[in-house]
Amino acid sequence: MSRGPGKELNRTEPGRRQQPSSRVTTLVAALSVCAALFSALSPQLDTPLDAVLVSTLVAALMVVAVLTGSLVGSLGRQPAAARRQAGVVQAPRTARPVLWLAVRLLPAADRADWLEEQRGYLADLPSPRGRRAWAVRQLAAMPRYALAVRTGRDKESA
Amino acid sequence: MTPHTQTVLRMLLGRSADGERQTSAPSEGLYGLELSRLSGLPNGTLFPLLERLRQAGWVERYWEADESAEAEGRPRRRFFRLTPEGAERAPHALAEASAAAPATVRTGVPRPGIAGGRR
Repeated sequence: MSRGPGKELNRTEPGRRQQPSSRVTTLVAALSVCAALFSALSPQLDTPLDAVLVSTLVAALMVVAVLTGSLVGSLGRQPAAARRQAGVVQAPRTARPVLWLAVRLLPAADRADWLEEQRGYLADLPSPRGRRAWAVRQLAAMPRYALAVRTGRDKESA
Repeated sequence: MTPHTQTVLRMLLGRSADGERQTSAPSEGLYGLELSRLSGLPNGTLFPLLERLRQAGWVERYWEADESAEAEGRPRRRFFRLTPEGAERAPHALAEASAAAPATVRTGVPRPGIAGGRR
């Protein structure tokens, strides 16, 4: 159900992409981690070939992770202060799939209401961290809640 | 009746967690987030409990008016409150549970001279 400004919770900003400079920074950070890993592992490796293979593999994995944007969600993102200054209240990206996953356990008839109720809670939680924590807690609570809903429904229909 | 159920019923009756003070009118609903904060119960306890009370006919849930939510520019909230049946039966059930519980459980604080308390 549309709730006007509440839509902002799920809104993404199409114009805001990760800046190239931040990607480079992230890449440099990843390569630094690779170098650190290499230096830590090298005394324990038997031959120089092993060391080269391991470091190449680690570097390749890190580069792939960075390029696909899945290294760490916060790396390369706009700083929190800038997001606050922009005045846009967004549900954290991680909250939406978590709630979407949780609601699958409910009977289909109850899902829309439950999600709307959760949107209300998320809108009232002040920080993205709090909203993420709430979504995770609801996911953890969902098996018991779904059991209560479903068993109660069975009793009512019996 | 479990202590958690008693806590939630007291809050819905408009009393503080210890049952001593009247915090609001029983007819007023409580927001789910508010219930969660005040009771301190984990979501996996609170919301299934509310659902079972609802199925038993003691609690009802309702949406706030669209106008007030839209005026404040946020999604509407869902509130929980006691039904007339719940409001009538809950105080008796709480009194019975309180009478049946040992003194240490009833007060939540061990008392000197009472089993479990510090002498």
